[in-house]
Amino acid sequence: MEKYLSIPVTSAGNQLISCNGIISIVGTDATSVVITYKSGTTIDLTTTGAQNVMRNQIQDEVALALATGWTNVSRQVSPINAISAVAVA
Amino acid sequence: MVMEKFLIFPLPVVTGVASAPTALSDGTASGTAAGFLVDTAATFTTDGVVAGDVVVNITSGGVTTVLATPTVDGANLDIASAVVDFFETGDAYRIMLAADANKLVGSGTTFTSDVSPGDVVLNGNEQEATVVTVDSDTQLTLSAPIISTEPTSPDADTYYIYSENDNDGDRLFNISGIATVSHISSTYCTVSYMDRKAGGGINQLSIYHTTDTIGLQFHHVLNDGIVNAYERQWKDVAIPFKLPSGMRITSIS
Repeated sequence: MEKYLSIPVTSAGNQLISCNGIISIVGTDATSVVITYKSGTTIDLTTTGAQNVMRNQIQDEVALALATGWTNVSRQVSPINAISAVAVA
Repeated sequence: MVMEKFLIFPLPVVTGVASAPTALSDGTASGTAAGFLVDTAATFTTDGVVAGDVVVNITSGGVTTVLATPTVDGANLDIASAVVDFFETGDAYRIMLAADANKLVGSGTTFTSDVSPGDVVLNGNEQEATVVTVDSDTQLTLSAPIISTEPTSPDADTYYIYSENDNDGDRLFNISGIATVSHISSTYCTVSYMDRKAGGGINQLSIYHTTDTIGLQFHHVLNDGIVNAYERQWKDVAIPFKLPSGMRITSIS
C-alpha cells in the first residue's frame, strides 16, 4: 500500500512525501529533518525547530498515515513550522 | 503480490526541428496604423514580399495576408486585416509565401507512417495547429502557419506531433515506489523514486511540459493523479493521466 504525506512547501505547493520504506526520521540540526529510506534515498525537509518539534510531528504524521485504510493514500499535513525546501539525495 | 501502478502519459509521436518553411521577412512592429504593418527597419521590397503572402503576428497568433505589393523598403505594409491594432508596437511578425505558410518540412522523418490528418502539432512557442494532409514522409500541411525556421526566437521550428490514433504516443509511467514529486519550474517536475540506480545514484525522471501559466497546476494535478491511482482497486493498473486544460507533456527523461 502506498502512503504519502502531502506537505505544503513554501512556493512549491503541496509535495508528496512517501511514508513507505522509511528506516529513520532524524532532526539533524535545527533546520533539517531527514527522512531515510531502506534504499538509502533521503529526503531533507528544511524547516525550523527540526530537532524536536518538527521531527516529532513528521514521525507522528507518518505513523497516522500508515494506520489508515488503503484508500486513504495521502494525508494532508499542516506543519507546525513552515517547510521551505525539500531535497532528495 | 507486488502491486504496480502506472499513469498513462500522452507523449508526442514525433518530435523534431523543421528544416522549412523559411520566412521571406521577419521583424518587430515599430508602430501602429490600422490596416498596415509598420516596421521602418523592414526591407519588404528587397525581401521579395508580394500581395497574397501570409503575414503572421507571432505575438498574438493573428494571421492575415499582404494586400498590396510593397514598392519601397521601410514603407508601411498594406495588410488585408482591417482590425484596428492588428499589430501593436513590439509585436513580432513573419511573412511567408502563401504556398509555404502552412507547411511543416522535416528531415529524416516518416510522416506517412507516423502521422495522420487531425493530429495536433505544437511548436516550440507553444502554438498549436492540426495536420490537414500528410503530403509525404517529410512534409505536412497544417491548419495554421505555426512553423517557420525564422525568426529563430520565439522558437517556431521545434515541433511535437500528438496523435489520438492507434499509433499514439501513450507511455506508461511507473508511479510505484515514488519518494516524492518536486516542482522544479513552470516547465517541468521531477519524480524521485525510493529505489536507487545500479550505480547508487538517485533514480529520477523529469516530466517536461508546456508552460504552466497558473503556477503549480501541473504539479498539483500530477500529485492528485498519483494519489487517485492508489485509491483505486489493485486491478486498475494503468490510469490515463488527465492533463490540465491546454497543457501538453513534451518529453520525459
